[in-house]
Amino acid sequence: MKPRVLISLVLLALGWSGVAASAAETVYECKASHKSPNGFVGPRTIFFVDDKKGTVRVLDGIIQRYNGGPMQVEVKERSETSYRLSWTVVDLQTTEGKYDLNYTAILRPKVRKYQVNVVGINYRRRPRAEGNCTIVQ
Amino acid sequence: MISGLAKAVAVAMALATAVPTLVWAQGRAGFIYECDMRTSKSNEFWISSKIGIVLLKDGSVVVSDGVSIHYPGGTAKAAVRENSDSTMRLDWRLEGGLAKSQGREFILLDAEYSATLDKASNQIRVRARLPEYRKRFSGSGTCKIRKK
Repeated sequence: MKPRVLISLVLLALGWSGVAASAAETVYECKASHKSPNGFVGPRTIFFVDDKKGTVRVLDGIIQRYNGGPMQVEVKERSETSYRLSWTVVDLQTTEGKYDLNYTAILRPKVRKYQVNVVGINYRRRPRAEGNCTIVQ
Repeated sequence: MISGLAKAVAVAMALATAVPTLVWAQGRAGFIYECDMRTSKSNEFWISSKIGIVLLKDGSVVVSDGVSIHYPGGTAKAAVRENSDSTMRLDWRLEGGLAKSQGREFILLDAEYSATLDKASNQIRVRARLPEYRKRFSGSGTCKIRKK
């Protein structure tokens, strides 16, 4: 039996105040076109991109659960058309125990597409997400 | 622990904010169903302890509860699937997205609700569905009618 991610779906909200990221950031809200198996990649990923500084923060359901909010991620490569990103989630609780998982992502801001992959998991159907993004700020 | 805290805060906020919402709605309302729901740990916040169903004079229906207050607008417009002498069936949807609380961004999940109210007994059954995670919750309760 392959492990599944255990994630609480409680709404971690203490009060609505609308969307507000750093003014310098462009916010891309990206939705997966297909559901990833096993829950290792969330159905919705949000990228906060500061083009000027070349920095990116990422938020999805797993990062929200384990980091409490967006995580600053490593920009491995940046071109005119894409950001290649990577990050690690430590002690991810699954049905089979805890895992440290490495993620890689490609965000293509101009065409508003994204892809997230989980590195180091030997599944026949590798957990991944890809889809379209909209700018929410 | 987080679950318990979030639930407690949500309930407190629902009680605090539902009143002004209902006062606002009362001016336009035919009447309001104020429903006390039996919640449990398995409901995990998604079934509010108090749900207000406002039937406006123009025939439309608005829902306000401890979940909807976290979403933009604070209330949800419900689609009336059935409104017979014996039963009212409603559907409403909360559109998720990026939000911010206490200086931190977080993701609100999409949530879809359906409710069936037995008008004879004023018993209500509410079902919630989180389509992104294929999760479902349900709860039942008793409603009181508050007429304008």
